[in-house]
Amino acid sequence: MKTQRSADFVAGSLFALLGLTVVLASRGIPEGAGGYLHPRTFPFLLGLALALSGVLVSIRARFMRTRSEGRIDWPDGAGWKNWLLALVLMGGYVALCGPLGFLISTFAFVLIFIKLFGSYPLRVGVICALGTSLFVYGMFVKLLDLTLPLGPLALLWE
Amino acid sequence: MVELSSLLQGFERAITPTNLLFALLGSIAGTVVGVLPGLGPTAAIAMLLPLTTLLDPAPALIMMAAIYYGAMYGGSTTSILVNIPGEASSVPTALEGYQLTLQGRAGPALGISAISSFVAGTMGVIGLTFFAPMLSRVALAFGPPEYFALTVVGITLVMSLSGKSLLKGIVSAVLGLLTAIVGMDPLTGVTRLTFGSMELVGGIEFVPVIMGLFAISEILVNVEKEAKCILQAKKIEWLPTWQDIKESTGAILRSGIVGFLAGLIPGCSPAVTSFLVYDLERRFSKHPERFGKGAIDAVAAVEGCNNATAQGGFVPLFSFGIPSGPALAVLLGGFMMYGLQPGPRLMQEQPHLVWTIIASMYVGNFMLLILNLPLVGLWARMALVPFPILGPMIVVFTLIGAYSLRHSFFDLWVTLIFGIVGYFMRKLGFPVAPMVLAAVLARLMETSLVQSLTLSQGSPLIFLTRPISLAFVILAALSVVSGMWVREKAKAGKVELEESEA
Repeated sequence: MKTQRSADFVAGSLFALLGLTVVLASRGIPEGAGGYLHPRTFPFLLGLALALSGVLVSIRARFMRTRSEGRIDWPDGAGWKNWLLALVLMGGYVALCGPLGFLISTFAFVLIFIKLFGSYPLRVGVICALGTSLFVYGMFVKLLDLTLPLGPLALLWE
Repeated sequence: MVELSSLLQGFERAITPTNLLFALLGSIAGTVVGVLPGLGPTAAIAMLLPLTTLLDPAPALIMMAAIYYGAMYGGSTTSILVNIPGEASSVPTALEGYQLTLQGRAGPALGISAISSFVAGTMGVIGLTFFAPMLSRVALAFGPPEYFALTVVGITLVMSLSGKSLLKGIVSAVLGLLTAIVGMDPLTGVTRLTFGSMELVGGIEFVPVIMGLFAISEILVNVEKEAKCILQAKKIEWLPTWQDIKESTGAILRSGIVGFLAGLIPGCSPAVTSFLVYDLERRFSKHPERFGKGAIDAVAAVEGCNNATAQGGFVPLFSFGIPSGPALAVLLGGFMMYGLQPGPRLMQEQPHLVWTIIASMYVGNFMLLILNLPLVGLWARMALVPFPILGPMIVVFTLIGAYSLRHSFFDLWVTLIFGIVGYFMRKLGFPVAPMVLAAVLARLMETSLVQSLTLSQGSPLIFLTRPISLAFVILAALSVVSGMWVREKAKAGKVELEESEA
């Protein structure tokens, strides 16, 4: 998938496959109460449209003739490592927001992110992480009265 | 000139210290909440509604209205600075405004946004003051066939939002429509494409989708490049130049008129009108090639339109008690809390109150300008914060914004998944704007189609027999034909250029 041509071919095929899946899945949608449009009609047509346009993207890529094919700006090895690291970090943050609460997980997430992707002394990371957590608490929890899970801290403040 | 004398009396009451104070507080609160991703005007009014219960009706309603248009303004800040459109109406602002930030022009973009919001917002209030009774009938002229035809016009905007490849734009739009129809069918209650998942029964909210496509994918792009700072330019501009203002004047005036007129139609939210105006400006612009690369007139048009639509929405609210969107529905709740029922009788029974609120809107819009212009330089400095520090904060506020909508952790995963989708769409050259627009329009499109077919007992001719709907169908056809013509012309021009260069 280094060139635009090969990337379009793969992407088009994937979209066509997704469209077909939607078409098949829409066949199982039961009829609702009355109406002139079956609840499956819209998803069925959209699945079909996606499958067809995906096929067209692939066909166009297969037979595309341009002077310069154009390369996709994929990251290098280190770039992919950072990409994956950031994604795992964000996934971890989301996963821990429930059990640990937003404040503790925000503190940990910001601190780790700064340490991993920046070259700052630990105290800078701690100050930023603490500042962000306190802002979240002050703005969202106290001022706007949003019900954010606070994890163990909720017990502490009760 | 009954309106003028009523308005002057309204001003007398609106500029009392108490009412001025609450207009100011509402403007500040609205702007602050609007800046936070995910928290749009609806959430802002709903959250702050209990605070107003201690007040008399006039200051309370002045404050709620100020929160509403303050939040409309605030939404542009994060879109321009860090590519987080907190709601669908800010997506075109993010498309152009963030490019300006990368070029070191965040200040001019924010400044133009403030000026445009003020001018177009004030045009909206003028429309509300003098033309409300005349135009209020528009709200009643819209039935399901007109709404369906309007969504068809909206979908034709894919032509202008598709960038280089129309086919890829169509794929993106279909993906958006599919995303929006997952979950319970709005009319029959049947679940669709949930694949047995309980979380998907509630559907996929489009705000987490938008924030994933823009903010999270932006983080992933910066992380892979080991970016030190999101700013790419060496030269930084802090305020708009006269040239910027001159270039944007036409866009501001047009967006004020279009936004106000569109605001009269219930259900035609700023999310729809901002895309409409974006497309319109692209067609009117002397430099359409700048669109997508940081067109300041586009920022002016979209932000002006948002505010004018917000003001236009007060016409059906005051005239018939019909809220144009969710935010005004909450505001309607605020009226009812005080035993007031917006509609024809409110104008007869409480004219002083209505005119005080309308007068306070002029004052509130001016306050927003005075509040926000001096802050432009301060906000613009945010782009100078090193990415390793700014990046995690963007993630935190994006995810909390996504969570705040339904208090659902599922929405956080949706944000991340669409962040990955957005990343690959960017890399592979699939435009994300058509996906957002389609996701916004999908429900209205399907619901109005089903209702129209029920009205006509299954005959699709209903769309061609009603004048407004027919006009929209013709407009959609013209939009497609002219879009294809412009595209072909641009392609031919490019080939000529390439040949002359060779």
